Amino acid sequence: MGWCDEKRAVFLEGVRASLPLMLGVIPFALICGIASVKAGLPVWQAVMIPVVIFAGAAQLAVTHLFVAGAPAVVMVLTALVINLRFVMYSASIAPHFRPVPGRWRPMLSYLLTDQAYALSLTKFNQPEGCRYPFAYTMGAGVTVFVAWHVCNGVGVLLGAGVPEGWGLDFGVPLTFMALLVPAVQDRPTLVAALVSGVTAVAAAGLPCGLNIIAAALAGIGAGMLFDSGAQGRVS
Amino acid sequence: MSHDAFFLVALLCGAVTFSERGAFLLLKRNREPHPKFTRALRLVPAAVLPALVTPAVFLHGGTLDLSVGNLRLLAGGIALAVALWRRSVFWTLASGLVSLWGLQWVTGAWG
Repeated sequence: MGWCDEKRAVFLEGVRASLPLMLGVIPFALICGIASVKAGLPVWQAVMIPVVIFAGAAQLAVTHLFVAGAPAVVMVLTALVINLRFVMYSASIAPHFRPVPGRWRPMLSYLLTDQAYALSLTKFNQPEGCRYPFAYTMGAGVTVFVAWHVCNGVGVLLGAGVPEGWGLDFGVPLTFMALLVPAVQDRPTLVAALVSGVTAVAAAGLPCGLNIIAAALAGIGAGMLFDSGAQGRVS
Repeated sequence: MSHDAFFLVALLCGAVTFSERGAFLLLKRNREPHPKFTRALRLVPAAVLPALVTPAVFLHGGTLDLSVGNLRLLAGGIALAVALWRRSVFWTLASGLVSLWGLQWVTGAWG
C-alpha cells in the first residue's frame, strides 16, 4: 500500500490496542455462529451473513426475528434502529478523517465497529493525539474483522454439536446486557434504558417482533423528554 | 420465509448498516449534524439494548414470570451484578451461563 514505516507502526499500535477487547469479541462471535446454526441457516449463509452485516447485535436480533417468522420489513427496520448508533459514531469521528481520500472511505466505514470506534476516539482525544488516524482505526478495525469471522466460523462448526439443554441461547441477552452497562452514562440514558426494557416486555404480545422497535422508540422518546426537562430546570 | 429470501433480507440489512456507518464518512462535504439530532442518537444504545434483554429474562413461555422458578431471571440478575462490577462482556457471559447451569443442576432441570 506504500505506507511509510511510521504509518505501519501506527497501524500495529491499533492492532495491539484492540487485543484486550477480543475477550468480549470472541464469545460474542461464537454465540453469533452458534445462533445462526440453531436458526437452521445453511453453513454458507452462517458464514456470509456476518460478512454482509458485520454488526453482531443487529445480526442476532434479525436471526431471532427470522426464527419467529417476522416479515422482512420488520427485520430491516430492527437492524436500522439497532445500528443507529453507527450514525452517531460516524458523525463524531468524521472530523479526524478529513485528509483521507474518497477511495479509502468505504472500507473505513465498513470497519467502523463499536470497538474500533471506541478505541480510535479515545486515542485521538489524548493530548499527544495521533498522527495517522486512518492507520490506527484500520489496525483496530482489521483486528476485529479477523477475530469476528474466525470465531463466528468456530461457532458455526460447534453449533450443531451444542445440546439444547446447555441453554447457550441465553448467551445472546447476556451479551446485550454487557454492552448495555457502559451505554448507561447519565439520567437520560438510564431513563431510556428503563422505559425500553419495560416496554419490550409489556409489548411482547405485538405481532412480528415489533416490540423491539416500539421499545427502542419509547426509550429514545422518554430519554429526550427527560433530557430537555432536566436542561429546562438548569437554565 | 425461505433461507434464500432471508439472505436477501440480510443483504438489505447490510446495506442499511453500511449507510449508517458511512453517513458522515462517505460524503465529502457534510454539514455538522444538528445538536438535537446528536443528543437523540446518544440515547440509542441505551434505548435499544434493554429491549433485547428483558423479554428473554422476564418472559417464560410467552408470559411474565417473576417467580423464583424462572431460572433465567435469577441468572440474569447475577449476570447484571457482574456486568456492573466488571464491565466486561466475557465475565458477564461466563457468570450468567454458569449461574444458569448451576441453577438447572440444583433444581434438576438440567438437560
